[in-house]
Amino acid sequence: MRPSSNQTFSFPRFARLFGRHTAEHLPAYLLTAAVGLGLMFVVMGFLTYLQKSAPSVMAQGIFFMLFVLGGGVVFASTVFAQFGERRRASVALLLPASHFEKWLVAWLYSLPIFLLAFTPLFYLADAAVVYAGVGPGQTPEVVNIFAASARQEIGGVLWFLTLLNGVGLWGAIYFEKAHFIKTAFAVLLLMGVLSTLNHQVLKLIVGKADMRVAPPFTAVVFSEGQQFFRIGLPDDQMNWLAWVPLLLAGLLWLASYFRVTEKQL
Amino acid sequence: MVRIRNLDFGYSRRVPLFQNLSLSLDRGHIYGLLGKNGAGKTTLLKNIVGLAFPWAGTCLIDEQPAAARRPEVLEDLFFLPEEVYAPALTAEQFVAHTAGFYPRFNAEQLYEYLQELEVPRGAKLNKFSHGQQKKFMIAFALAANTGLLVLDEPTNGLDIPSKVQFRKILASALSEERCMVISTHQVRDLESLIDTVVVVHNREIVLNEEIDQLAERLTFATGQEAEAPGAFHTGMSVRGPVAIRPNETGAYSRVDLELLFNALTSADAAPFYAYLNQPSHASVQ
Repeated sequence: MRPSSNQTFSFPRFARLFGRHTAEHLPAYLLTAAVGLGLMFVVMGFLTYLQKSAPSVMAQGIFFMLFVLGGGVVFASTVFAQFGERRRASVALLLPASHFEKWLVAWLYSLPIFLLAFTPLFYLADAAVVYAGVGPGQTPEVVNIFAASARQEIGGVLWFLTLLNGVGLWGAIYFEKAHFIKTAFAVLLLMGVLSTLNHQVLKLIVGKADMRVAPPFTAVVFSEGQQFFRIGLPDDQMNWLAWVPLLLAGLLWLASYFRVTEKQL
Repeated sequence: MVRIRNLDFGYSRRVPLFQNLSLSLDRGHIYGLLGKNGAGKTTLLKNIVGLAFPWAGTCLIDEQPAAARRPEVLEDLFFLPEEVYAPALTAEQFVAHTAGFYPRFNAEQLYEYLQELEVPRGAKLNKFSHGQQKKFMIAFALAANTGLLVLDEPTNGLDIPSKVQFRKILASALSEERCMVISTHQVRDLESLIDTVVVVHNREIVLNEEIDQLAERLTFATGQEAEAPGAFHTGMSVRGPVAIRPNETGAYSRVDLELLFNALTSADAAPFYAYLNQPSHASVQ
């Protein structure tokens, strides 16, 4: 055995792995991008056709949010597909690179590269729809997601995308096939169970029978007679909850990394 | 090179496949791993290369745990599964993006092997037939020049001329630095190739012996000689009766792997095991 470089991360080895992943998956990624572009165009175009005018800036912003979150989680849940299918998995697991490098390639593609590719594609579809569908007397206006006024909303979307990316990556390595379906089912089931448990525990603590459903990290709302009461954290403490998606994403990234190290055939 | 000590493994806790299994594989040998269907040949190979993790015991490659899949270990290891995966790349693209992972990869050797195995060039690998994909991967595996080469049923899917070429290439690729492990149920395909036989049966390694030593200790008799009493195992072949008996004369006889395998996996193999497990000097008396 020759003396080798760092066993966790070596940039030349990582670059080689990244290049191999790109060469092997680029045709499929380009096809996915083309299908995504077509879908965005069709959905926004259909709305434009129905309302006989181009979508408003606000509607475009909502479309951006829905497409980036939906596309992000679906794409993330496929990036570890090579570890699920047995024939491909033995090649992927035994390729001379570290588990971290293999995980990092998947993460890079599933989040930063996805965002870099998605944003211009969205603008292409959006601009095409806005300029082609502009109604009589309407001034075409394309949403600016980089505007200072949109920073808070876009920040929130990216925060949530990060969480969904963690969920998608975890599902991609945990399940061997039908990754997205199984991940979505597992998440919905978990959310249902957690919300029910959280609600029941809060009901026991607060002692109010007519309490509203309280998912985790939300305030308790109940009524007494004609009056509604809300028990929540003070605003300054509530702000800390904004970090919860990022924290959960970090935990899910860690879980998906360790799942790669533990993957067996 | 490979050291397995007291390995316990199974896919279900209730049904262990291996218990307390130990095995050593060294450089400079071509090992033939034989076993019945479901005996665990592929599972053992997966434990060796780090695709399956032992429940207990250790499985080391050059003193490193195989399950850790460290890059420095993987650089010196190539595993070719029975069902190969060929990506949508041409041979040249595949080499350009994969060869760099293997420090001793030799492109000239690869193209020589591809020519010998009659694998076409230019087309994408996923458009090849199953046999051609397998031949390409065999050629790549050999050209990677890794210290440990593990092949699971490599001759499955190969046509007869390719099997001949495969044996020729594999024999030429063996060096003192390499350890090759070939699992197969097609014993005849590898008869003239392997120098050490490893047989897995009933959750354990029942034989790990060099062919030459087997030839020294056993006589593989045919015809009338096979009908004489005192054989460990008898059977019938197209050549008539066949038998395995102790080599009492010291004369060389060619090891019949199929007969040997049948003898080791038959219900009354206990006296044969006992004989093979004696020190070799005790057997020649």
